[in-house]
Amino acid sequence: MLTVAGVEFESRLFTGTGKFSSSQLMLEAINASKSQLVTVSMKRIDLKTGADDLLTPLRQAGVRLLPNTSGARNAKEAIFAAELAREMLGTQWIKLEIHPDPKYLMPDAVETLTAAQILCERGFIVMPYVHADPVLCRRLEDVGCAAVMPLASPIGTNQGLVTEPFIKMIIEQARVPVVIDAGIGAPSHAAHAMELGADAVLVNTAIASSASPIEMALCFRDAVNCGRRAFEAGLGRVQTQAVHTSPLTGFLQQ
Amino acid sequence: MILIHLNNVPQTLQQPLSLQALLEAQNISQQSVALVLNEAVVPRHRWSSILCHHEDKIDVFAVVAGG
Repeated sequence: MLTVAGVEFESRLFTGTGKFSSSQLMLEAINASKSQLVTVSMKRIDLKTGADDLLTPLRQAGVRLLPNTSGARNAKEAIFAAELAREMLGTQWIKLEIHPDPKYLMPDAVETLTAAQILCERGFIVMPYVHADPVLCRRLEDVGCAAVMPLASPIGTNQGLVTEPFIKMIIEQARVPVVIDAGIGAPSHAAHAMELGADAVLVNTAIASSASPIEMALCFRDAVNCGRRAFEAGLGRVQTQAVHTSPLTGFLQQ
Repeated sequence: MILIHLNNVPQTLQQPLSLQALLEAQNISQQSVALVLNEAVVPRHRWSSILCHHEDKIDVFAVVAGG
């Protein structure tokens, strides 16, 4: 069982709500994924068209909401977004993401650490989205973050675990849950992250942009479960030289 | 007459409305929004007691899909 900030999660697959072709499909995919932690964003209401009511069906689905600070370009804006989310949703949980660069959406490490420290002091449950930087992840732990969320590869790229060597270091050192976020494009990527010992993965684009999001959600659910079970079972050591699995007595000659 | 800026759109009010009355007049569901008055988040319990003033900048945010 995964525990984040004292809350237990049976599922180690966290999901996003973006990029689905309809709210109905999004809800069905989340339901199929068995995800219990789901990210949402915030936006000014368009007064002419009104706002889609996403909250009611998500709350009915029984998932915990993780609002993000997407759109924030610096610590000040992210802190404002977190305060907004707390007022709107009545939750202290916040996915802290600050990415001023629109091309690669790389998270700003300095602003993220600054915002994380202030938000932790104000009682937020902070889950920062960061580059796979083991030193930064330790610093974020030190200021009180409830988890760290290093990226596998840039948001929405489906490139998989480009940062694998650094993810391994983060997992080895972390005293808080490590959630691999961003860039996971295939169930095999998710399974691999879990085999490495990640505590959870967060997947959005790969499910939402699939031709069959519900089927893909099921695939990710199974992949995450399988990867975790393999990690718990204990993977064999990787070696360069062959090690026989059958007796090598040349019985045909003897 | 009071001029306010609601989500960056200028609006004229004939009389001072509370923030809550303003949302009601706009048919905005109060359950699922957060309200920002002159760049400060206003707690829900204060919406009925704060009146709009001339040149107030009021922003209403809601949840949208995101990753």
